[in-house]
Amino acid sequence: MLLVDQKAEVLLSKINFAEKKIGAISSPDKILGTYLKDLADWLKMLKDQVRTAQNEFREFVEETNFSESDCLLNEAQRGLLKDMLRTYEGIEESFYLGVDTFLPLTSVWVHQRSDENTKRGHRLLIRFIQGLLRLSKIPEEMMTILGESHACLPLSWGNIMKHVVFVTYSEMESMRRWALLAHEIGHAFYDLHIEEFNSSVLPLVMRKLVETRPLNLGQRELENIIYIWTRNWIPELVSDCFSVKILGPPYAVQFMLLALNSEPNRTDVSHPPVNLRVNFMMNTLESLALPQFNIEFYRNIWNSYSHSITRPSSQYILHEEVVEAALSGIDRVTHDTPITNKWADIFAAKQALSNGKVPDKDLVSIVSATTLLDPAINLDAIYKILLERHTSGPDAS
Amino acid sequence: MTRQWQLMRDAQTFLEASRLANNALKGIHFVQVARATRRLPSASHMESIEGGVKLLERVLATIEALEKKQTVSSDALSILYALSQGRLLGGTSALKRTVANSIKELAKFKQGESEPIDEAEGLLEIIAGSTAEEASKASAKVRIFMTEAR
Repeated sequence: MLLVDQKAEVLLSKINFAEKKIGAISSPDKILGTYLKDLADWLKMLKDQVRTAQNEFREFVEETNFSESDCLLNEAQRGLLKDMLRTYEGIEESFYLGVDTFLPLTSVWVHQRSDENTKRGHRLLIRFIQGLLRLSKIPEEMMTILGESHACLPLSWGNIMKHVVFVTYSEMESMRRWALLAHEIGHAFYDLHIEEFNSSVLPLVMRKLVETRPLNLGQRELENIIYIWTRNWIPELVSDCFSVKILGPPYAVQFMLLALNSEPNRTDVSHPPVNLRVNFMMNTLESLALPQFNIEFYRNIWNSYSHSITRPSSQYILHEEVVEAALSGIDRVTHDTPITNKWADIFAAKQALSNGKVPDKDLVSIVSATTLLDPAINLDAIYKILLERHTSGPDAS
Repeated sequence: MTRQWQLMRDAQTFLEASRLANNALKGIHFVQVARATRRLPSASHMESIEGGVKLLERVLATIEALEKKQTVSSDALSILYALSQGRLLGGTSALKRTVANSIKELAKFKQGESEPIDEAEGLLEIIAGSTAEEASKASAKVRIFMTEAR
């Protein structure tokens, strides 16, 4: 058997292993079940890709009389061999990204759902995530994994896009921090609407970057900046905008706490400066005009820190016309504002909690309300009541 | 403020761009081998070349989006970034010319003309190689965070 054929066999055995593991998960819960079905379908496609590659290699061997003991001399034949090897590399990489990243998480998921130390807290978090998904009308079930940080793992299985939300383990009982999970769901929102962003927001930002390009900026640097904006910063700002429009002040307040650092104007390849992000959130909140919410109070708090330690940035990447094009475009595409209807519930929940009562409201409203309470208030009792309320019955998720 | 989503999406998009460019190259090389032995190339290899043409058209549209209203695509943005990482084919106008010429070359090649397609082949080779390299880099970072997550 030729070396390339052996490689194909290794890949097929990995796919078979994944299929076997999926088949061995007996009666998966509703959420996990949606992933397993899509993954199983994609594994079939991946297997087809390997078989196609095998057939192509056979065709290549026949047409070129390829033998492992001789080097090819013909240019097209050499090129073809390179293409074949790259095909296998690509399939291996796809397998890693689609299967090796996800499959071990199924055991973690099952464990966290059944372990005495995590199962109820985990279930409450799932309820919260489901509430956020309903509120934002994202038609997706999402696995929630207790891990080392808040994060969103996108899985691309052919034409299917799925997401897994990670929650910082040490914050699984810190309800105030849960508001930040809206940002992770915002990444799923971005993936769902990527065509709209690609057709309206990204081209605008790119054109502004070209129009305002300094004379001494080289082509490579320009490409880098375009990439930073289009692939990293815009998705992050979309997630922020999405979060503010579904949760409102609770997200913005928790974000300020998370982002507070000594360099609010620092530009990072992966994320826009926190000053830009907070100001965007404040402006978005202002445009929502939520009753009984004093935006200036929070704006002043942020400014008291950021204005004291920084000056406005004059960097090209933060040119005001570019920023304006990005933010207005993002605001336009992220048009739904569920918070305008939800705010009354969150505010009422906050009033009740302040008076020592846990109101008969939905989980998202109560958790969001906790972010607006005096930070000195201990939430342990509220957490226990919510656990009792939402995780005592049979698990339908 | 973690980067998991970005790194995974980067790896996935680079990989898809590399796959499309590599498929087109495979198509070209199979057709060349077939024509050299006076055989009729298979329809599936012609389709792969057409996939390459569509990919280059998206790259062209994304370059043109710098000047006029055009929809950009994620794979084209990834390609332009990968090309800029050390293997940039001159400035924007030179790159635009190369992409446009490559699309024309591929169209003629599909029709059976025997003119060389050096520009298209060279461009697709750079795209397939550089995006595969970027996919590997992003994927290596994904491995680190997945280890931590588990």
